[in-house]
Amino acid sequence: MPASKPRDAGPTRTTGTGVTLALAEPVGMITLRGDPGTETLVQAIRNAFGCAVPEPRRIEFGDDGSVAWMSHDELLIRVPRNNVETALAGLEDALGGEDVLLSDVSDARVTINVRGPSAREVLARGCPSNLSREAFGPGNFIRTRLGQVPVAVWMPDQESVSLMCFRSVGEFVENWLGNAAIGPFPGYLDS
Amino acid sequence: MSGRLPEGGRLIDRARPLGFSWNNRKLSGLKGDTIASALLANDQVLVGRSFKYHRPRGIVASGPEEPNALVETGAGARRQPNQRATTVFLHEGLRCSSQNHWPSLEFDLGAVSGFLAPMFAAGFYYKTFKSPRFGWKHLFEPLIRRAAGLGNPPTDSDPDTYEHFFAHTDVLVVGGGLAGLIAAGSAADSGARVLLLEQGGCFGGRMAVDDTAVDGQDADEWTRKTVTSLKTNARVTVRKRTTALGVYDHGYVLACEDLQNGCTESGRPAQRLWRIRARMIVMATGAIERPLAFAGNDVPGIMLASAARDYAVDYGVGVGERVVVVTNNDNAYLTAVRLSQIGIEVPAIVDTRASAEGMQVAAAREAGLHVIPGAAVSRARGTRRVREVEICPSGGSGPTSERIACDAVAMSGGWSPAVHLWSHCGGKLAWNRDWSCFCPNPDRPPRGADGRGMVISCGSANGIMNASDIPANADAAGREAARRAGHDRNTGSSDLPHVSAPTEDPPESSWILPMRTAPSLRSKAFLDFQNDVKVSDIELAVREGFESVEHAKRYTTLGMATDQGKLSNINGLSVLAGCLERDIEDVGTTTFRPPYIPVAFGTIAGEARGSLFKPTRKTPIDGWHDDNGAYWEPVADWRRPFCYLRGAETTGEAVNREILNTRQRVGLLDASTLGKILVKGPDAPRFMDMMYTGMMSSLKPGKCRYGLMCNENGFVIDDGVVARLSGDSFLCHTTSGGSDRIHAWMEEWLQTEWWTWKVWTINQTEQFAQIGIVGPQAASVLGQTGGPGISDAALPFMGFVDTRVGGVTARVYRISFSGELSYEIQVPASRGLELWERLLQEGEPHGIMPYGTEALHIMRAEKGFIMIGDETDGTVTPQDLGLHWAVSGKKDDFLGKRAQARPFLTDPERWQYVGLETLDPERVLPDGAYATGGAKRPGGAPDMIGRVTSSYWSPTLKRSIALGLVQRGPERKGEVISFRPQGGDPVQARIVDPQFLS
Repeated sequence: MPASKPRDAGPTRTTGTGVTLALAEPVGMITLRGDPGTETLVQAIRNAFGCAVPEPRRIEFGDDGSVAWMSHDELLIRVPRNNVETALAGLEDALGGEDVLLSDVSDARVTINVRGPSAREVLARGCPSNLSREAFGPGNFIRTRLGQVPVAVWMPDQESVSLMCFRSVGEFVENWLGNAAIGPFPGYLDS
Repeated sequence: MSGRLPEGGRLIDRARPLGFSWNNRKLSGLKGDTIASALLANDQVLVGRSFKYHRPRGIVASGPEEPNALVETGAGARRQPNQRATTVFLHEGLRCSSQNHWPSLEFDLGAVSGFLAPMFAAGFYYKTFKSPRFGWKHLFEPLIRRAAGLGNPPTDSDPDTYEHFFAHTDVLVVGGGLAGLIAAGSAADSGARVLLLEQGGCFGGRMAVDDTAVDGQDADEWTRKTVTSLKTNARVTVRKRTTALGVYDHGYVLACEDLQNGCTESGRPAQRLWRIRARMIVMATGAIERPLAFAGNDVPGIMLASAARDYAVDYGVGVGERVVVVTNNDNAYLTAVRLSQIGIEVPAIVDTRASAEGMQVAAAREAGLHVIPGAAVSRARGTRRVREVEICPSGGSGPTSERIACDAVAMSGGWSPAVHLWSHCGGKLAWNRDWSCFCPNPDRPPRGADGRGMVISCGSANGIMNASDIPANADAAGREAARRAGHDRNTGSSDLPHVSAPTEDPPESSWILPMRTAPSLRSKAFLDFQNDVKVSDIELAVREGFESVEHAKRYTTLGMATDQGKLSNINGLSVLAGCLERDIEDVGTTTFRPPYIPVAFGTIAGEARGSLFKPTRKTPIDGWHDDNGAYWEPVADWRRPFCYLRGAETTGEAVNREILNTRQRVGLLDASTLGKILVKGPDAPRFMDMMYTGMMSSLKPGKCRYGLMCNENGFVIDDGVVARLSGDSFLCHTTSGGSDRIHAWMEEWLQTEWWTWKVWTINQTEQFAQIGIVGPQAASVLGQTGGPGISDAALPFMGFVDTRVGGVTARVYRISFSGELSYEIQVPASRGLELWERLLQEGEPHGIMPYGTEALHIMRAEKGFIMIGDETDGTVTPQDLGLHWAVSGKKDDFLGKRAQARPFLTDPERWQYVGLETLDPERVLPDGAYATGGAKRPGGAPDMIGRVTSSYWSPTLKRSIALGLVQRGPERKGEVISFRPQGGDPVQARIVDPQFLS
């Protein structure tokens, strides 16, 4: 399963505005804290996932997962759920001598997929980041807020947004999105 | 009388009549009307009673600056008080009514008796506080509350929805008049993304009412074309009925869009709050006309000259049959000429200027209008409607030379640029001597993150009072804004529209008519209509020493009403300047603050109401709790079962059952909310020794230790069990409410103070479910569920083991918060429910029952364990809590160490931790109750010597128990002290050791 196309796990909700919301199928997630500039780390990521270490506020998609920039010393690696132990072991091996912290956080967050032409505007009701086409598209990865909760958002394609939040507020965020998807939308981000 | 004219009205649709009600009277208006224009069309000039004196008041303005015509709209849950009648559009069936009258709008007792006037002199509020001492509570407050005030809030929950929307733009243009439209176009031509906001329902600003033509076309025609062209530009977004409320740091602007336009059945949200980030802001907000201050200037029928013109041109409404125009400037002549053209009699134009000879004056004379130069209105007469004005020389003290009968007066004191948005974020103003107004000072703009100006003003908001000068100014503003936002494609302004409009000369700076008016008349000349502040009030304030403009404002409440002094500002300042014998520019102005217009609470709240009011954090086992009788309580943002109700039992009975079952058999607790922070790195042991008061570096891998965290002031901020996972890694448990805060606290120290230390932290709280299995049968249940290494010998108290429980990879800690044999099992969150159900199943033969937070609290209290947030409140040290053993004396340093050595924190008189047993064992002390000593404090209140921090009925001990902090408490064990619950009889309790259950 390519990590760039998250599949839905739960039922899909479609609103009258053509926006669909669905809980994504669970994936494996690994937090890596360390200096992303070290050659060993860059090599380890490339060897493990076939992609580069992402630039700030970006996500890189590899063959076996994606690597997202969480902060200047934190990456979030997303792999198929079944691969998480192997991936973790591989990284621990490759980074054995490095000053890093690796942790399986697969259960700490849930991902919700928002699809439809108004997906950006659903999020813009609560997300202070610039979600215009010029500022946000496939490849970007933004840690921001949605209403009162922290989230991270990225775009698998031009009409879908994947949103990640902590597990404990997953239900709240689903309800929040369900309300935001009712519309009407200002149409500000369409152009 | 006022009424609908036979023709005219560019904003109304005469084919679409709308029925509405005013004070339960059925009236008819037209589509396009505002409440104000519809009321005037129905000859309803009196629209409200004034705030303090209950004087009859009429419509003064035609826009958001309206001070008087505040009405209540809607009914029931949709009742909205203080709506400006000038900005609410009419819709079929609209219900509206006047406010602040008693018993009725036409007959108000407060105004008839006139007794209120001396009551409400300047500073009345403060004076009533002073003497007599009982006066405020028993006399003044009830009276003021009765007399003063505006509308009533709705009593039911708002049925409408509201939403927020975040928008980023290069250039935000505020104002869709001539200047705003040109600036928006120029900025877009430069390549900038532009968001243009217009507060009203149509674009073009005052062009159509000010006889402005553009490129030889009618103003409306040009506006239509320009707006269409902007709308088709992909870089431009245009919103009308959207008012910019405030400009904040870093180009953040709030704007409120009215989505329903009065139609509540539309299914749309009522309002949308735009939360805009703009690289640059163009302020093209226009100008607001000023009234004139003369005796009786608040009598209904007296209004701004521009408003009289607007009602005629925009709504086809004549504000009277005989309208006297009073002015100090040329602009009001447009009103005189326009009104006379449409058949309204204008008996005189009273011009304060001795030599009024501009182009406008000539035009008026040519139209046969009677101009009285060098004259003023000394007094307007009339009660519920103006009847006549008395005319006198403008420079004199007011002997009447002429009386003119009229039923409306159009007054103009010149124009003030609407500079509010410029001021909100620190922009300064400069006095424009020519036009007698405050203008944005381009040298001192509000500055953005880069230290450069983030707002550019243009048009009349910038003090450009002649429309023909506006295109060049607005074009330059638009291009400069785009350039500073990073877009400079537009280099030329070759085809700027050519604007032709009547040229105006600057006004005379006189606003108090006549100049040396008698004191008796000054107390009838209103400056601030909404707050009922008169010329005499400012004079009194100055006499009483309130000379600073900021002091005078607060003392008199000038400009402090919901209209924020949009009309009163300059007139008030001129009176103040006159009293102080200074120039207005030296007196200065008060600062305008957001919001520009009042904004509804619903709009601010947005979607955050009902179930979306606040996020609720749920554990992985939340659904099971909900299905099994959980009685919820909030714990930080989490919801946790307080207890699980079975059958018809009360919460108290459930709690007692859960405790006894846990103490006698075995209980199960969902402890997933506990914070779990992983700390790893070569410097982790050193870091842990700094964060905790105890010694953590000496902890052996596989072992746990209780730890306290203090802030740098020495006070306890969190506690929990620390497990040493390996030589360089620790898992720190925090309180349920503390996980985010403590993680941030750790990161703050690592990032700002100890950045060379090699330590990483991760907040793993959400990754795990944690289940406590507690009670004498805990080991049996756990043993049955499987998992090697958890036998009594293999896993001693304060140890942990990585194993499998019920087939799930788990870490099992043997720790206890209840005194019972107890394990906490940590598994990945996705396996939490599965393990919970498995443990319940395995534990069934042992009598297992889940227990909630209240049982948890009581069981820890029975053992005398502290609870963060109960025993601590941010002012309590480990030493206060008798936790000296948890503070290492061997370490050189830890956070809080130095503070704990300060004399105040080592004072033996501090309140310290004790147990409390009521003499009557059935009597449970109220939580938070204070103990009183015999002594009295200065002032007579009893001296307090301690307080209850936790108090419960202990089913284990079958008596009440309490924990508390008492002065020199531990030394006083055995002593009986007295607690005084609020409003109850004293309760006697004996000071005991906090550990009730050994």
